[in-house]
Amino acid sequence: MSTETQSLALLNTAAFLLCVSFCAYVLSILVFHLKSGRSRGGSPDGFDWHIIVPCRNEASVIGDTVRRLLCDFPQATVWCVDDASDDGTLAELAAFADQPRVHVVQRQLPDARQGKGAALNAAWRGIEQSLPANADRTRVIVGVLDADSRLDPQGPVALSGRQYFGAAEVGAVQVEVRMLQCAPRRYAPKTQVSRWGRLLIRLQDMEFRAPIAAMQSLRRRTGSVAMGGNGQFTRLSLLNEIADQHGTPWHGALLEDFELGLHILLAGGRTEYCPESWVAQEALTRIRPLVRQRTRWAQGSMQCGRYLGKVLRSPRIRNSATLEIAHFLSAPWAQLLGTPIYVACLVVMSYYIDNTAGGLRGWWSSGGWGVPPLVLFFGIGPFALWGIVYRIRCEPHLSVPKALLLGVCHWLYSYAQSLAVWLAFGRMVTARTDWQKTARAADPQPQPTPRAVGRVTVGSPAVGRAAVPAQPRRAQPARRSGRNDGPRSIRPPRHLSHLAHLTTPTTDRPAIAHIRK
Amino acid sequence: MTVSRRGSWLRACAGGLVGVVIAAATLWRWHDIASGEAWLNAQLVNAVGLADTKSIGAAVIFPLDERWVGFMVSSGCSVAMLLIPPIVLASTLIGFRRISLTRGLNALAMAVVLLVTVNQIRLGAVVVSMQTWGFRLGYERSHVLIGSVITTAGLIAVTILFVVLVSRTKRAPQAVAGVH
Repeated sequence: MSTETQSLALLNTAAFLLCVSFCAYVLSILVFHLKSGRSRGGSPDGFDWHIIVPCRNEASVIGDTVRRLLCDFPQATVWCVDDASDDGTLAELAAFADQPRVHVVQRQLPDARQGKGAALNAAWRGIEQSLPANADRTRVIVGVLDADSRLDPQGPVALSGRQYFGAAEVGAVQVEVRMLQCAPRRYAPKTQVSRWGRLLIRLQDMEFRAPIAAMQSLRRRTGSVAMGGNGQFTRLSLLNEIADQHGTPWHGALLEDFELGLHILLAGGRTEYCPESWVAQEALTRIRPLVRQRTRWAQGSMQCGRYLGKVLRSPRIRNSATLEIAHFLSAPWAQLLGTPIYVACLVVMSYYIDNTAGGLRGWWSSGGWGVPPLVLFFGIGPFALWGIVYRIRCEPHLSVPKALLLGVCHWLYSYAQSLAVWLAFGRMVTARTDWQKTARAADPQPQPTPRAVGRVTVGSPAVGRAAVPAQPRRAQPARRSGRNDGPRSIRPPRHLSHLAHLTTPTTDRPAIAHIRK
Repeated sequence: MTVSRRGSWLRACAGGLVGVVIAAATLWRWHDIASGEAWLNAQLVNAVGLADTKSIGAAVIFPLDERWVGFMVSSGCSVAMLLIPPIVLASTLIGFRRISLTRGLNALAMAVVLLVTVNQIRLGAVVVSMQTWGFRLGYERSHVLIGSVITTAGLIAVTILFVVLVSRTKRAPQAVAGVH
């Protein structure tokens, strides 16, 4: 057989195997998702709830978010980490100076803006130090919430159930993510969005509540539930254990949330997914920011590939979880591989159509008519079915044709992911790991940093709940080179020369402050 | 890197390498595998009484409308290439000691048997289609649409079964993380 025929057979088999593995995965997650039931909640009173809200230029949303948290969760302490915002976020937070349940952890340049993981670590230190030494840290639950998010008021009740923190072996729980614009009316923002924007919002809502929720349903069975960046809850004792082993709970990957989940599993902890509760976040209404967001996720996933060896060798992670994690980590690479393979298949098919006697008509009548049904069933079907699942499980008011149309749009929407994977690959090749946070449509133009916000005590012993020293009590291991987290000896730019005293490479020091009027 | 860690990596790489070598050999000898499949298909179709089939190399032939017709089991139609992923995956998991050699070989044997069975059903469907709709139309209908549906559905089932088989192990008993 000629090399050409052999190459075509290889190409054909590669495309076929990619399609089959995708369909097998979709079928698996679908079955487990449809079989998953709902569990009853428990009493949240036995736990001490702390919610971290990382803030970097969140002035437009942070006030409402904190107010809502204080109203909905009277038992929770809120930790806002101001990551050197220059849009007046700190001024917004000053409004909560008289709230003993609100703490502001102020990070300043050059230590600030080192990524979300570093901001979360700063809050973790604050929480750890605010607790008495004899506090039972297994009963302290640390949640992470985006600044523009709304948490289900019943969240703590659901999370305290016997399937979640009510069971001692569960170390971390991720709640369902949905889009704020599709959440109950009282949470939804009242901004005007174009028709195209509304479709994007609905697609994101469907993506999180159908296929991603289904992936988590499978992971519940395999024991590899992944943590997300929004709505993740972890026992403080487990965060401390990870910090003891690795320096800090959160690390430098762009998917710091997934990385935390891996560390939890490697430490022998169990992660869970809670579909009974939700966190609503603002959906993106334009395709460009969406591609950018997915590029960051894909790059983060590629970065986390370095954990594959550890996962494969870990006796604490069972085989099913290992295979699921390996599948997730290899997904962007499979997509990278898939793009040229499917493009090549299209080119070859076009070549055959062109060279068949009678052209397209000849090709069609000689068996080509069998190709469109195959593409429809095995190519588009696995995407389109999520529209129906979304209708059945989440939005019963949607008509069947609308749900199907949404599913087909989901197939087209998936091409944004393919583009993002290539962009992420480009960034990996050029060693670019810097990221700006995703901009919100309602964000105002950046303003100069406020010089003084009420009376801010920075890193000094204060009274009551604010008495948190700037230096952490936990012994900090030596910083490994290359990690984004930790001290920096970077000279600040000229316009920030008043911060020159911070350039001494001492420790990673968040200024933990409680703002008082 | 500690000695034990280096050892585990070496073992894992050796396992993966063995898998790659076997997979390469499978690819290299694809024609023998395709010939074997053609022979098996001829025997099975004969045994079932669908047609008086014979195999010549990788071709399956049978009389239809007073002439001999047939099809060739090409590299793309053979299971040879489809065997590569389970071979590599099983050997890698054995190398990492995620599964025992026995479990790996059992899973692999199951995958091989089922893949061959699925492909035999597909080849059988081609024979039946040619007898039902005639040589040309039967081949067109069965080769692209019916054959692909049978293979895709079959392979999805085999993939899921294989993954279930290699992932079924007990987790080592341990203390609850985060609880001191």
